[in-house]
Order: sequence, then C-alpha cells, then structure tokens
Amino acid sequence: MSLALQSLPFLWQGLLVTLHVSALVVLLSLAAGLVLGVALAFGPRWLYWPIRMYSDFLRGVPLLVLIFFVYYGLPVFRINLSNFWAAVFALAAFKTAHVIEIVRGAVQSIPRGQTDAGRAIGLTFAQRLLCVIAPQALRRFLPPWINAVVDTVKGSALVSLVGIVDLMLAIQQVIGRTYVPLPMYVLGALMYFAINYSLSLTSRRLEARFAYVRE
Amino acid sequence: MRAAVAAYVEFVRNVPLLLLVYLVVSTESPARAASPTTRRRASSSPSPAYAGAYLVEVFRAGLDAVPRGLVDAGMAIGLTRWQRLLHVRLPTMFRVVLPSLSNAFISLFKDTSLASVIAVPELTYGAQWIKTNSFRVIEVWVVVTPMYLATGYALLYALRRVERRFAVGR
Repeated sequence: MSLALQSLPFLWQGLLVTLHVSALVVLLSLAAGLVLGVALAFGPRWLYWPIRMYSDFLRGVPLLVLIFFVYYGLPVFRINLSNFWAAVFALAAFKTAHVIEIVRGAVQSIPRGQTDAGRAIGLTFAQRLLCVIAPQALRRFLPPWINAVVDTVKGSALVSLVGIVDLMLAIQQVIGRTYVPLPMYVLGALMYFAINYSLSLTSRRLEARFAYVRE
Repeated sequence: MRAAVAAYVEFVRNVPLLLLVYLVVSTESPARAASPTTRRRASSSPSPAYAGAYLVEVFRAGLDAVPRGLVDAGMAIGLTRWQRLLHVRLPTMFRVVLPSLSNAFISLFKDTSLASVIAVPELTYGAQWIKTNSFRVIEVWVVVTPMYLATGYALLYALRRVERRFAVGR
C-alpha cells in the first residue's frame, strides 16, 4: 500500500504521457477521418479506391506491427521520427482508418431522400452536408466514435514498446525497481479502467440520449 | 450472476490487452515464467478472456435482436422457456451475430502479435529477431505486413462465406 502511494507521483507522470499521446491521436484521427470519410461516401471514383485501400490495409495490420514499421522502418527512407512522434503517427494512421469507417457508416445511414430534398430546395453540396446530413449523422457517429477513443487509450499502452514512458512503461519501471509485479499491474489496470470506463459510460449515456429518435 | 458478468466484461473491455498479458505472466513464479511453455500458455490465456468479454456483448445484442414475434410464436405453440431458448432464440441469435463474430475473430488474430512482447516466438517476435540479427529492417516489415494481411483476408473470406451460408433470408 505504502509502495503504491510512493510510486503514485511517478505513475502520474506516466498517466499524463498516456493522456497526451491519446489526445493527440484522437484529434489527428478525427480531423483526417472526417475529411476522408466524407470523401469516401461522396467523393469521386478516383478518390474512392485509394481511401478504400488505405482503410482496409491499415485495419488489416496489427497495431504493434504498424508502430514498429513506422519507428524502425521509415528511417530507411530518411524519415527520422523521434519515438514519441513515430508512435503518435502510427496510432493516428491506424485510428484514422477506423474513424473513416465510422463516418462513412454514419453518413450513409441517412436516407437518400434527405439529400434529394436538400437538392430540391436548392442547397449546395456544402449546405446539404452541414445542415441536413451532419446533424442527423451525429447521433450515429458519436457512440462508436467514443468506443474508438477508448480503443485509442488502450492502444496507447503499446507505445511503451518503443521506449516512451507512458503509464504502461512507468508501471514496469516501478516493478523493475521493487519486484512486486502483481499489485502494481492491478493498480495500473485500475488507472486505465478509471479513464476508459468513464468514457464508456459517456458513450452509453449518449446512446440513451439519442434513443428517442424513431426510425 | 448478472453483476459478476457485467463487472468482468467492463473490467476487461476497459483495460489494455498488453497490461493483461503482463499481469497474467506476473502471476507465474519467476523460474516458471522463464520457460517457453509457460510463456506460450500465459500469452494465450488473456486473449480468450479478452475476446470473451467482447463476445458477451455481441451475444447479448444478438439475443436482443431476435424478433419478439418469434418468441411469442414459440409461446403460442406451447414451447417451454428452455425449448424457446434452445430452438427459437439461440439459433436465430447465432445467425444474427455471425458478422460481429467474424469481426471479433479477425481482431483477435491481430492481437496475437502482442504475444511477442513476452517472447513467445510468433510472427512479430520472429520479425524482430531477424531484424536485430541482420539489420534488414525494411525487408522484414515488408514481408511480415503482407503475411498478416494475407492471413487476415483469408480468414475474412472464409468467415464471409460462412456468413452467406447462414444469412438470414430477406
């Protein structure tokens, strides 16, 4: 117990790094995923296939392999990233693929008639997207997206494997010094759980909040 | 019972798999933890626990998706509670959940790469071993990535065929 208390400040530093990485990844993947997802749903054919391939390829490869590829592989092409940015970009690229699919699913779930109606009253494409489709698609987008955010926080544990001292590696360093693995791992698990469970709860509450809409 | 299952599902779903892998290894005594068999077993036990937690949710959603009318029909022809579950709800649920089930299998397949961090000699571990010995970084990942992709897609294709075979008629 006292050991857990003693190591808490150190774990706190690790937790901050975990949150930092997760936040960057969430923002990057949200921005890229929104643009590419809309392009996938409405874009021209020559845009469709590259995005389709990107999304399928990245979702088909283990995240760990992707992180190692970016960190150890890209320097061959003279792209030298620090371990922090290599991990952030690998995670963001991976998550972008998931956000693309969530956006596509949400946008395509809006009945075709809505778009046609918007066109009939003379709205431009941007107006149709922003004023007709986006508000309706939002409730289909948020719950799975929050799940993706939970996945990001969990996936960020993998950045410890390229030497970033996040919560995961902080736990292991404490264990390396004290030789009491089990209580420390459980403590770490509880810290991850606290973050992710609150996110999961938000997602569930949003789902309940949007449940009033009848198809 | 319900609360215990819910606690298990919520805990496992909200904690990184990597941490669970380390946690299970750390429960072994150091001497035994070093042996390859122990490591292989330790790496394979969190994955079912992890996938299981996801499948619980999948099956619950599947059971909810069985149309109310089917259950009522079963009641109308005088089936007991257990008969309704066995002959009406479970077979229908199985067909409904197949797509989610195959998604869960695919991500489980990708998660096996995590076993490399506790030195189970699987594909990612082998890749890193070759990399440290030959310094041919890009070649290794260029070979390993398509291997994962090819296996993943083969798995996906097989599962899609099963799905189509059992698809709920429209």
